[in-house]
Parts: sequence; C-alpha cells; structure tokens
Amino acid sequence: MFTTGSKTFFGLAIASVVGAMFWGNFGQRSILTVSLIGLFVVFGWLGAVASHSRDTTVVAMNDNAVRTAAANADVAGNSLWPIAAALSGMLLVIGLVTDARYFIAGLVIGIAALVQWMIQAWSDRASADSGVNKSVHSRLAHAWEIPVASGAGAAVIVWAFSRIMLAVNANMGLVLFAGLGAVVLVIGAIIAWKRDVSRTALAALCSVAALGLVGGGIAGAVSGQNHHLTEENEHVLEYTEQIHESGNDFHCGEEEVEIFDHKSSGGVASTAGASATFTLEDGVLSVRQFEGSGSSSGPVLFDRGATVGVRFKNKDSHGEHGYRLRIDAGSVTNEETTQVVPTVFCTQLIEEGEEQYLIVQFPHSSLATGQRYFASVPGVEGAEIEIEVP
Amino acid sequence: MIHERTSSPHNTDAASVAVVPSEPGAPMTPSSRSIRIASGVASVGVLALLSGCAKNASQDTWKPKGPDAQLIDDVQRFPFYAAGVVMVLVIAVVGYCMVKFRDRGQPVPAQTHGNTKVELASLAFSTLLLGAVGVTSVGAIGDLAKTEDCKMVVNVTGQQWWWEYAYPSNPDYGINQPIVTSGELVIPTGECVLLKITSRDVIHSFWIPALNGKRDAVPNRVHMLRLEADAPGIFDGQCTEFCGLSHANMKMAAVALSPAHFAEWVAHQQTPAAVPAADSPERAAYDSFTQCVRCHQVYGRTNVDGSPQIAAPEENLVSKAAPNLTHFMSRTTFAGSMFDLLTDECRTNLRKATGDAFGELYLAGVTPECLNVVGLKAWLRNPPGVKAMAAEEEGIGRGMPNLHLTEEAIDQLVEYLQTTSPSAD
Repeated sequence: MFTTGSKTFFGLAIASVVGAMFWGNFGQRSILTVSLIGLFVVFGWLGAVASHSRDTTVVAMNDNAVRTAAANADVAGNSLWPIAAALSGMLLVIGLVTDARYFIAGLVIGIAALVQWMIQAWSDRASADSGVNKSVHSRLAHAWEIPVASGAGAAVIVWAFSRIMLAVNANMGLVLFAGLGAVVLVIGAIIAWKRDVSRTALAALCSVAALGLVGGGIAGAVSGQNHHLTEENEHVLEYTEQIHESGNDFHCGEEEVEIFDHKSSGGVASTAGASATFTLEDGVLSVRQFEGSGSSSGPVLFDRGATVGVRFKNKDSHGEHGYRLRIDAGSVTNEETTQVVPTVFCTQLIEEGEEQYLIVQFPHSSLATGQRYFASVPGVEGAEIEIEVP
Repeated sequence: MIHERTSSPHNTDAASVAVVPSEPGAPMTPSSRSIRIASGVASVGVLALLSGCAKNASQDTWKPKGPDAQLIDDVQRFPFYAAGVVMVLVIAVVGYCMVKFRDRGQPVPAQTHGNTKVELASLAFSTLLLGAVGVTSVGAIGDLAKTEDCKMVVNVTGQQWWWEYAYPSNPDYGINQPIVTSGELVIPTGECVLLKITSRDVIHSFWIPALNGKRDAVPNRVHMLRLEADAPGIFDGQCTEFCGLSHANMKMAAVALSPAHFAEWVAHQQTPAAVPAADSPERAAYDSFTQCVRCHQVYGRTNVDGSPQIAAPEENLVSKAAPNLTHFMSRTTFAGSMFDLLTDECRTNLRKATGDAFGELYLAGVTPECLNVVGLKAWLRNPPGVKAMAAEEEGIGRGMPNLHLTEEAIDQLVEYLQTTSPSAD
C-alpha cells in the first residue's frame, strides 16, 4: 500500500501535524500553526497521489524494470543519523529539565539529523546505481554541509585563537601573531610550489594544525585572561565600589587616599588616543598637544562638551607617594540648592615612571563664563597649566 | 548523440530572419541587436567620460592646491596610469579572444594548463609594479604623518551635522585668546596647519580633497591631519563617513588667506560682540537673539544685570554643542556649510577672486547687499524643513529644531545677525 515516495510524504505530513499541535499549544504565533496545518494537507495529498500511482514508476508486470528499479537497489550501508536523532532527543529532554542551551543544541542536532537522514534515505533509492546515488547524495548534502562546516570551522578558529591571544601577554601575542602568520605563509608557499604533495600528508598537516589550535584555545580558556587585563578590570571594579561606598569623598589633593591610589597599571594610558599629555619632571609640569610636538608650559585648549582624554606621566622622583594630576574646570551652581559645586577631575597618585589616562569633560566654556580652568599637580608649587575651553 | 548544439544561435533559421530585416514588429536581427547593445554601452561610456569634464567640481581629487595634496596626487598618478594601461591591455586581449575564437561550431581545441614562462613573467611584472607603488606610497604616508614642522594647531570637532574649529592661543599668529568658529576653517597660506580631529557624537570623516586626504573623526580619540594651501581661495570638502540623516549635507570648507589677511581675520575674531545700549533702536534685535543663547554662544553678550550669557547646548542637543555665532557673518555659509550666506552673484565674485582681492572680499564679510536674506529666513522659519534633522527624543535633539518663529522675530534675528558682520563694525 505504501510506496517509497508516499512514505516520505506521509512522514512529512505526520511531522507537520505534530508540529502544528505542539506549536498550537505552546507557541504564540498562530501563523506558524496555520502553515504547518497547510503543510500537513499538502504532504498528505502528495502521499495519497504517490501511493495511488505507485510512485508513477515501475510497471509491476515488467520484470526487468522491477529488477532495476530504485526501490530494489541495495541500501548503501549503515546510517549514523538515527544515533544522532537519538542524541538529539536526549538533549531535548535534558534541556527541558536543566538548561535551555542543551535544548537548543538538541534542536539543532535534531534538525540536522532529520535533514541528513531524509537526504540519505531518498538518495539511497534514487536509482539502482549506487555510484549515481552517491553523487546525488553529495550534490544535495554538500549544498548545506560545506557552508555550515566552514562557518563552524571559522568560529572554532576564531574562538581558539582569541583564547590564546587573551591568555598570553602583549609581547608574546605579537610574536604569536607574526610567527603563526609566517608559518602559514611558508607552508602555503611550499604546498603551492610542490603541487604533488600527497593528500594524506596535507590531511595530517591540517589535522595537527587544527589540534594545536583547538588545544591551545582550550588551554588558553582554562588558564584565563592574562593578569594584565584582569588586574585592570578588577581594579576598576574595586575603585568603583569603594568610591561609591565612601560617598565620593576625596578631594584630589596631594594626600594619599587609601581606596583610590596606587593601582594604576598604565596599560590603558599607553595605548589610548589622548588629547594632551601632561608630564611632571623635576618639579615642572609641561604639556604636549600631540605625539611629535614639543612640550610647552601651556595653555592648552580642549573642546567643550566633548569627552576628552588626557595622559599624565610622572617622571619626578621627589614625591614619596607619587603625584596626581588635578584639573579644575570652574564651578557650577546647583539651581535647586544654589550651592556652588566645583568641577574637579584627578588621577590617582602616580608613582615615578608610571602614567595614567584620565577622561574629563568640560560642560561650560571658560571663555564665556570668565572662569579660570587649569591643570595642576597638588604638592608641587608652580606646577600649573592654563586650560582654555572655548 | 549527447552534445547536440540545439541551443546554439547558429542553429536558428538564419535565412528567415535575413529576408525581413527591418519590418516594424519584425524580429530583431543579430546585427541590429549588436548595434543597439553597442550604442547603449557607448552612450554610457560617453556619459561617464563627459562627467569628468565638470567645470565646477570643487572637490576634484585631481587638482591639488597644496603640498600635501600634491604629494598624494604624485603618488596616485603613476598607479592610475599603470592600471589604465593594464586595463586597456586586458580588455584588448579579452576582446581579441572573444572575436577571434568565438563559437562557430568548430570542435573544442586541445586544452592546456599553465605556462611557466608567462606565469613567471606576469609574476615578475606584478611584483615590480606593486613594489614601485608600495615604496612610493609608504614614503608618502610617512611624509603626510609628520607633525613637527607645523607651528599652528586647530582643534577640529565633528558632530551631527557640522564642523567646529577651535584655535588655541598662539602668540606666533596673534591669537591671544581661543577663537572658535564653524563651517569654514580659515588658515594662512604657505603654512602647515595641524588639525586635531575628534568627534562629539558619532564617527565622521574630514576631507578637503584639494588640500589633503581624509581623516576620521572618532569620539574619544584624536587624529592628526596636516593641511596647507598654496594660494588664497576657498576649498570645499565633505564628510565622508556616513553619520546619520543629514550626512550628505555635512559639508565643510577651508578658506586660505594670505598671512597678512589671516592676521586681520584673527584680530577681528577676538573682538567680543557689541552690546547696544538699553534704549537704542538696535536693542530689540539684540534681545531677540537671547532665546538662541540656549544653544548658541556669542562672546560678549550680557544679560540685563551685566552677567555673561552662557549657552547650554548640553541640555538640548545630543552632541552637547551648537555653532558659536560670535562672528557669524564673517563666514560665507551656514547650517554646516550647506547654505550660502551670500547671494549667487556675490558668491561667484568671491570664488572667482584671486590673491589679495580674494582676501579683501572675504574679510569684508557678508555685506547687506550680498546677504542671502531669502535663504537665511527660510532656515530660521523651519530648519528641519530645509535640512533633514533627527526628531527630538525627550527634549534632546540632533540639529536645529523648528522654533516656530514669527515673521517679525525672524526679521529681528536677521537684523541682529547682520551686526556680526565685519562690515557692520
């Protein structure tokens, strides 16, 4: 009663109606339910037609045709897809109970297994010639296998390489980046030159490279980010929390503030694009407006309203606990309380040879308000530079 | 036979189409089809060619007006010509092969793969070509990145959709207090000016083709660009990084003045706005501008009690900035250089002027006879109606909103703005 073709269509019809029932109960978009019911009707109709017409194929009375019919072809071999489908089912159940990620993984594997299983089941009986069947299978399956595998491969490479780069320090990162690039280039050039390299050797080489990359990535992920990065993050979190707890009660003076000072790594400062660099050396504060410009005693101009980054370098050996840069940007009057609130920004205490990046913003024009804005180093007499905000 | 050529055009009934070549509604012959296609391609090609003949292409990248742009021009011409020769050669060879070896039903010739001599020759040729381009380009990049020979620095800040130029104090050029202007970057001729470029909101890109290449304006970062003009004149530019609704209207211009004229411009820009007496006839126009100070700073304006009027654009605009209008009519454009403050005639006269004559005309500012009153009033009447602006969100906008001014208020504002012209002094 059920021919090969009709089985496929009936199977799809049943899957559609099950999907419609499931989505109708749990889903929110009725359009999908209606579509699935539509698919059920269509597949059911096609199944009935295929069953009635005996797949519009072999005439039963023709013995020769029966022998060479696709339905009579030997099945190519065992299939892994039922196992994958079972794994999918298991993950779906586990995911429902524990974590959505397992459920999604099960769903993805299930869909992939279903599609592959269908393609294999159909192509195994596409003709009586197993060679043709195999090529038909490849033509169908490769259309999505290759893009998906490429995407997954690229994702694995990016993930693994990023874990490695995050785990090593900056210098090693440079060496790795340049070294790996050079190795890939050399090997590529050799392969291009020696075109008769065996497939086995190439496969082995790629496998070793893939294993090394994935292994390195896993090792990098396990060991975590290098301390340079994590330390910076931890410090920022620590400052934020402690400053919040203290009610922001410190005044950017020369005195040391326990919760605030001496934790700058200088890592950000060395790589950030600064609008100006203030340097304290031998008791003199100077400013450079850009890389390559000479130092001057100011004034220096900053844009009003823009977020401005400045760098402070302490090259002075006299301060016992280091020095901080302080920027006074006038004051604003609180309209509700009529209280005059000074606008002050400052770095932490920076020890000799260290530097810090400070972000400031000038809400008002010094020129329009007539107020004097300046940068200074508390505790160092005369270390002061005029700031202009037009 | 498997490979029958049943779909070949040569197997169509050629005799039947040959006897009815040009009857209306008759099928098109291969020759007439070819002629039509060739005519279409030729028309497009001619149009593309003629588009290069535009006379008013003020942003032409092939007409450098300063040493930095000249350096870029010198570097780009060689690869352009080399690429042109290569392109012509390739097209010629491909065309020859297409015609000479076209399918006439002949058997497929023997296929060959690879030709070591040709491959090595083309490899060597490409290497030499790219090597030459690489060496000259890297050298030019190094020269364009120099900063130490520029004595003058200008802060350039982009925001939606206009540019602000701030000149720090610089006694070498007579700048004793910061100067801030917008739309037009005024520079002295024959001097390297170093721009410190950044942005207040999104990424923009600063580009004046006649003077140098592009440089992105990125929030929280500072990028440097050197600029130098050989002779006085106005050099147009355009934001080249998509930055929102009015990106296409975010124009810019560099105005080069002789050193003497630049010194005059600097001196004028440092004068504060005039404050008319309380009982003077100009006072009403002066007072009409007070509402504009919510966003636009004008140095020297005071309240009745004598305190300075301080703009607070941070309360009204995403970018936290609006153009400083202290010497508004010393410029020739407004609204991000989108509109002319000058009438067409005056604009043409100014742009045609050369040497000292240009400087004198520019320094005169916008005279009453030259003011584009219609354009300025249209802007004041409904800014978003003439330049696309993003809608306000919770009272914070991008660009100038429609203030629903009355015609009387518009007249008063125009009257006041005319007092900011150097010719009104």
